[in-house]
Amino acid sequence: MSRSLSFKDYQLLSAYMDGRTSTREKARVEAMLAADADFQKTYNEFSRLKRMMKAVPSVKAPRNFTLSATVAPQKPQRFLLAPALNYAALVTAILFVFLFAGSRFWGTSFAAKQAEAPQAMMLSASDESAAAESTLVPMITWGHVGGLGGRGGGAGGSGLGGGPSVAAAPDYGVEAVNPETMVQGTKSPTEGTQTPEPTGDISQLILGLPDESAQGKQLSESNTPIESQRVTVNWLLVGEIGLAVLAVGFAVAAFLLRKRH
Amino acid sequence: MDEIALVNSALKGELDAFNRLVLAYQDMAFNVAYRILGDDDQAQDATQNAFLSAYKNLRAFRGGSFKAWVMRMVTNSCYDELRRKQRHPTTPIEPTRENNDDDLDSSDWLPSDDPTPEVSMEQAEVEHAIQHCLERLTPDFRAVVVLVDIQGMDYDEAAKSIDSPLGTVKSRLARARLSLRDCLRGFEELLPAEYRLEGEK
Repeated sequence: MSRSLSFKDYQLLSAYMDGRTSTREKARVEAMLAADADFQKTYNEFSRLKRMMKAVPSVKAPRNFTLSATVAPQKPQRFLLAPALNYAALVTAILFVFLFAGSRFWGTSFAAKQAEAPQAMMLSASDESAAAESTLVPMITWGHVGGLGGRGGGAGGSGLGGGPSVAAAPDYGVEAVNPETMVQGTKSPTEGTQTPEPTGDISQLILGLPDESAQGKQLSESNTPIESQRVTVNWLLVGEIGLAVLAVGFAVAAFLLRKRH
Repeated sequence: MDEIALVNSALKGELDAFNRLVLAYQDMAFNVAYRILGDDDQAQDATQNAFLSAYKNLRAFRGGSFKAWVMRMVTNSCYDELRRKQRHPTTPIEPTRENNDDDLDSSDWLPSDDPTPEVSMEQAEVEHAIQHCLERLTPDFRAVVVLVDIQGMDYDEAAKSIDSPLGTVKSRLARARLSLRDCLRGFEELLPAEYRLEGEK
């Protein structure tokens, strides 16, 4: 009987040759040797190979490798690095655990505060808007104040503050429309709203407009820098990751050092 | 030779005690290094570095087989040397041992203690074939087969020397032997009849 040998068979045979098999394995190998021609052939090859390796002449050391006092340190070094790395790994691991646990505790209370903050802000904002609505503020009116908002982008003015009153407006071929003469049925946007008394100074009517003396001048843009959006770094998380990496690094270095010696 | 007493003396700073251990194991250490590296100069460097490393780290020796512990230093030193060789491959200026057979100044031509020149030649052929096939193995497999089959270490000592479990030694040895058998079949005609793997029926 003959069959192709598996690596397990080779391993068994190799161990059998060196007398490193259990009683059961030994009996199995001997049974296979008696029954399997391929197994027998491999055994013979392995035996011959082993004899061949034993016959390899021993090479004598070409010189002495004894250490001289100049080369060798005064005393064998104390094996300090591995324990130091062990302690470092332990300390960083403990720090990591404290930081991790602490961040979970602080993180929840902080998150709760942060969650409350937008609600409070929204509430206060709505209060402020209600208060602002209740006070009378200058409004942009439509129709009564001549030229307000008119001629936007026109050649005569910068568009800001509008041009002169309707009566004084130059004829562009478009008939000026007075809301009071509008066809009945159409409603003016200001209808039903309280209109403030018109004043001569537009800047009092429209917020942010310069006074009349500034008309026709080029308005300078505000030089106030826009506050850039801050990139918030979670230093706690960075610290946690750093400590975890350090702890693992120290532990691996200590393990490798111990394994090497 | 009381190894433990020598180790203890060496730990106290007695270099002579350590050197006695070096003298006891230097041939074996050089042999292992030579078979793993396949180069005389590199083997010398690896052996020297291994003994220096052994002295420096003597406090890490926790008893047991000093031979296995020293051989671990040697195999580690050989792995370092192989890595260094891979990073900085060099070409020797002097002729290598393989291609100076015709050199009349070669030590191969000097009188030896071998009984006959034929035996010496046969051994040289076998050694050359084995070294060639050893170098085709990966360093891990090479180290195991050198320690067990050439140096005659048992599995336990070999396991300590390569710092691996016993099962790894068994497995690596079986694989290494299979590879060596296949490789040496290519040298069948060059080897003497008694060393031919297929000669035995």
